[in-house]
Amino acid sequence: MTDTDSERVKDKTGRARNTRAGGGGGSGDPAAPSLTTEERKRRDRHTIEKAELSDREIGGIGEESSLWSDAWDSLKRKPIFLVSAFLIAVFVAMAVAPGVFASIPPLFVDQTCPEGEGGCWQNPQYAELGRSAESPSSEHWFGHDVQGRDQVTRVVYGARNSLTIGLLVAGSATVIALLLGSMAGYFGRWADALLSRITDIWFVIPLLLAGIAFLNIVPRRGPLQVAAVLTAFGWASMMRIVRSSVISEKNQEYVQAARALGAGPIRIMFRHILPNSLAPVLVFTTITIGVIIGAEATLSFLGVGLQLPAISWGLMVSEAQRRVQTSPHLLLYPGFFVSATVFAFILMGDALRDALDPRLR
Amino acid sequence: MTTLHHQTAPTTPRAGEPVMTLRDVEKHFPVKEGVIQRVVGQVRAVDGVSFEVRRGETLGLVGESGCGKTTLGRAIAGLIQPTGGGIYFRLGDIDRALVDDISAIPEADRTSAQRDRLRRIDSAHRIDEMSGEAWRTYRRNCQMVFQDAFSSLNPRQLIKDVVGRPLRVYKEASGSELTERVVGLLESVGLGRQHLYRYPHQFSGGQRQRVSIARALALDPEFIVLDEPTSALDVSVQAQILNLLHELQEERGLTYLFISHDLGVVQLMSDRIAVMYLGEVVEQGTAEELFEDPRHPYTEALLAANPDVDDPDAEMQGLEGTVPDPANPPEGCRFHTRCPVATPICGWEVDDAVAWLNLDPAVFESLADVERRSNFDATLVFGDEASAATVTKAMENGTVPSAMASALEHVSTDDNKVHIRFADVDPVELEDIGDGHLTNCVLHTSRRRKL
Repeated sequence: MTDTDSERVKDKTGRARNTRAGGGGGSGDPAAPSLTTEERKRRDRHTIEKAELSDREIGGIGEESSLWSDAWDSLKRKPIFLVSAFLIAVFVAMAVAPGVFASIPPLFVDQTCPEGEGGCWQNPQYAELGRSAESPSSEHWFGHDVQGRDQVTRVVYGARNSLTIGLLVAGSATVIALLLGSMAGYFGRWADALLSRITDIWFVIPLLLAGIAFLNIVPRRGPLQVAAVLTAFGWASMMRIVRSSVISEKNQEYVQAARALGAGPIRIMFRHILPNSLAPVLVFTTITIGVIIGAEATLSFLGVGLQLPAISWGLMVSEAQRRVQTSPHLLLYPGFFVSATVFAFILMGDALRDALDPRLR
Repeated sequence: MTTLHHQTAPTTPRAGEPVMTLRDVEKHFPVKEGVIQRVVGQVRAVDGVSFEVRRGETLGLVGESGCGKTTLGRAIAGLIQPTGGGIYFRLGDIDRALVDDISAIPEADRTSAQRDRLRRIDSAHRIDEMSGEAWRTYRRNCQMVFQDAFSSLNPRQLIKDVVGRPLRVYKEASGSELTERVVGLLESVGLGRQHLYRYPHQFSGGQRQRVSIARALALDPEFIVLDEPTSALDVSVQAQILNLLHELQEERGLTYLFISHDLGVVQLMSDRIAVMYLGEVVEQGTAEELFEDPRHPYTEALLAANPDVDDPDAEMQGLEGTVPDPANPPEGCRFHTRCPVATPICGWEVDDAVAWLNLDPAVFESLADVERRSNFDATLVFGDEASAATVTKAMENGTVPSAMASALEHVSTDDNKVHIRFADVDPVELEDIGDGHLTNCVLHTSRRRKL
């Protein structure tokens, strides 16, 4: 109400006419019916001008910047991003240099080497059967596994295989999905028909079933072999997400406008469609990392995943399943690390999605 | 369409050479069905449109939703391929006469010299057959402003990139020169330097539309298709944008195709107006003529449905009925199914008779089959003889609309079957009724003699 009043004071002619028409009485009511159409128009125009002016005043002249540097600026200030980035950095450090990581004193209280060279607790394969499934203690924080090996060391050394498989599969599946999905979505017609039907066929093959079938015939199963098989059968649902979001972006008018300005298909794809359809894919990719680490665990449990003596969180979880009731710590620690990794990547995905979308920043 | 030949005289003082020339432009969308996507029909979104847009003028294109005006606009902007006819850019008067003359000759009868001629003109002017060089010239000179200011800007691009990208792509400017050019463009649409590094979502609808206009102006085009540029905006903002468009036209000598369903806005903006109905232009003329003296019942109906500001108490008269299916448009004049002043020669056909039967549920229920021999000649098969007799009687004693009744050449009953035949109707074409005012309504054209 005060806003309208001040408006009328400024608009002198409008004010004068208004008082005359209103007959002096009740001039405080801004919605007084005495306003003529002419005056109402004038007032509206004035409000608009003022609104635009105030909008121009907000925020000075911006700096030269790009989508990515803007995204980085906003990420730096996001606690969610900082927490997830820290967690991921820790896990990656574990994966890259488990030996270095395993000699940080506070983590490894018992640094003794009962059997000399190679027989330290810091060797993930060093076992004392007498300490089988021993509960966590102040010396061995995560306790011992069934074979009597130190679980802290095992968890640290397991990171490499788990992360390698998780990241490799999620990454390469995303690349395949982006390639096929954007082709199907952008070109449509027979390209879409062909690629979508192929994806449908892939879609009906369950990931684990395919893993069991194909890994069974692989003679030596290392992380690369497992990752390859999981990638081959894990991209289908992601491809459908890419395809549908490309289709929905393709029909937006800004894409039409770019075409009207003479942009070619490649420019339209990379400048306009992909950046805008990446968000749902990114979120799905981070979730896939967790799913794949779980799938690797399941395959290992079924005996077709990684082969002993390989170490991975999945293998540890699957071994622990037989003794969950008597020794819960066997499941708890590797399970916690799987969850924490997935959690960190999902948080990272969310933060990235928000940062890359100017509307959500 | 040969009737358009003599419509070459400039219709407004400002009009010059034609910038865009349309000849029998068609855009049919296939209707697909079933697993193998068999084509079962064609939606005739645009069905034989011919007109010219001359340098410096604004041609308004009005019609109801679904009449094909946006499709036509996109075809002219080169965003979709027409399925028939030609859209020509900067086609001179001599070349146009040549195209019209050669097109009138059946394909097989053309001499090789004529074909050569046509091919040369096509590669220089016809937008779907242009050579690369001509296409780039056209692409730079024909821009489009879209209706939805919210989806027509890439949400992930800064305003500087939205407006400046075309300049960079065409290697017009880079670095600080580019920035200055963008600032200049923004200033010409009432924005400024402070908006360079913002994202589209930080703007209001009106400001976004200004950005869209700045982007369209970036390459300094000659012709802009404005596809309902203000219909998503508040009335007050609408006026600002319309004024801006007006000023820009004056300053830069722009030519507009202004598409809208809002007659008031079209009247304000346009020098000439073309009224579209079901994919066809039914009337065309200068803005004054069309509003003062409409010569087509559809235009009259549109004007009557437009709220009158001067007389708010006047009752608005909307059109009755719905727009017919564009996949199966009515014969003759496409408006005859809804026309309040339809005559016997407007194109009455079997579908109209069936539609009329639909008004009586009991009779329509007993209609078992329609055996068509053509759109004008069919046998209506009823479940019982009584219904057939009722229908025959109704058709003979004039219960049907009188225009339809007089168009019926033959009605006979054969047990439970009723044979009906309507008079054949020639295709309805636009005709000049003076000073470049075109209409296809029988009441105002030479066909009136046949009444």
